[in-house]
Amino acid sequence: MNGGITAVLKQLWHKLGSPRWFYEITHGWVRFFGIAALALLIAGFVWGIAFAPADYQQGNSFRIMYVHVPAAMVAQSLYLGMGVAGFVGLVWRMKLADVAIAATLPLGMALTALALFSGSVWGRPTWGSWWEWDGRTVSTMVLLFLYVGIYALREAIADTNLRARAAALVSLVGTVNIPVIKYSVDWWNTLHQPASFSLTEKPAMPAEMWLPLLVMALGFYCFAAHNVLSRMRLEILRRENKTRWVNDLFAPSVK
Amino acid sequence: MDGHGGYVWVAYLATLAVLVLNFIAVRVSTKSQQRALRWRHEAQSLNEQLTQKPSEHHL
Repeated sequence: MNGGITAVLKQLWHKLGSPRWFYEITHGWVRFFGIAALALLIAGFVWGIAFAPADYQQGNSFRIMYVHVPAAMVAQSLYLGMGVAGFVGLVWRMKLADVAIAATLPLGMALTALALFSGSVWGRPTWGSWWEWDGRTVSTMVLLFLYVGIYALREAIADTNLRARAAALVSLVGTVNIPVIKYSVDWWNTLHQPASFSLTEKPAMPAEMWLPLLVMALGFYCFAAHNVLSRMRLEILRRENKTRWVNDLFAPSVK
Repeated sequence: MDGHGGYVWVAYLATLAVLVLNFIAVRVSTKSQQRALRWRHEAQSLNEQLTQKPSEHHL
């Protein structure tokens, strides 16, 4: 049984080395994640804005949580994904790893900026200030700098192999910042509230407040999957545009 | 929204803008790449037809 699973995983690993295989297999996934994202985001938005009860301390400003928390969660997950891709790219020199890093950067950057912006907008009515130099906000700002830095690095290096190695290395090293963001609220005194979700503890909020948050978080993850996979497919088309399989793909059908 | 409506809507509008812009950016780039590939294929076919024509006249 174990041998069978190992063999399947090994086969999958080898197949991942083929951009063509990846392009063909992800066609249906993009559509699935797109539809799921749309449905979940609409449901989460309506639920969070119209049906979730107001917070007894923060009033209605707490509803910003339904966009702030998912944006921050997905931005960190995308960076972790880039770190894994960086490791794979450095160790196995897999072409798809650099494609994944290139495809993840724009959305990761945008979601980190959105998390900082929505946090700032939420901070004004609850903390009384737009910005606080505390562990969570500063480490999230470092995440944004990492995204921007890797993007700039990729744009600055013309040699494709060197560019891929440099981006992979910085992505991998930068993952050190993810646990800092996660545990910053425990390690230092902060105005920022503790984690909304934990794998080991029940949420402190009532279900009618955290269920819409869960729906929004799933919607954001589906959107990220849709967006990153679409960008990866686009990047594959750009890089493989001289190959026969791409040429055949766009040959006019015989009537 | 007890005076917090402005903050809430600004955050939601920013989110909508980020999601929609990212969606549109990929879609536009993909369509343009696909168009370029199709155009290149058509240009190649046309070129092949044109280079074949003189020999057909001789026949």
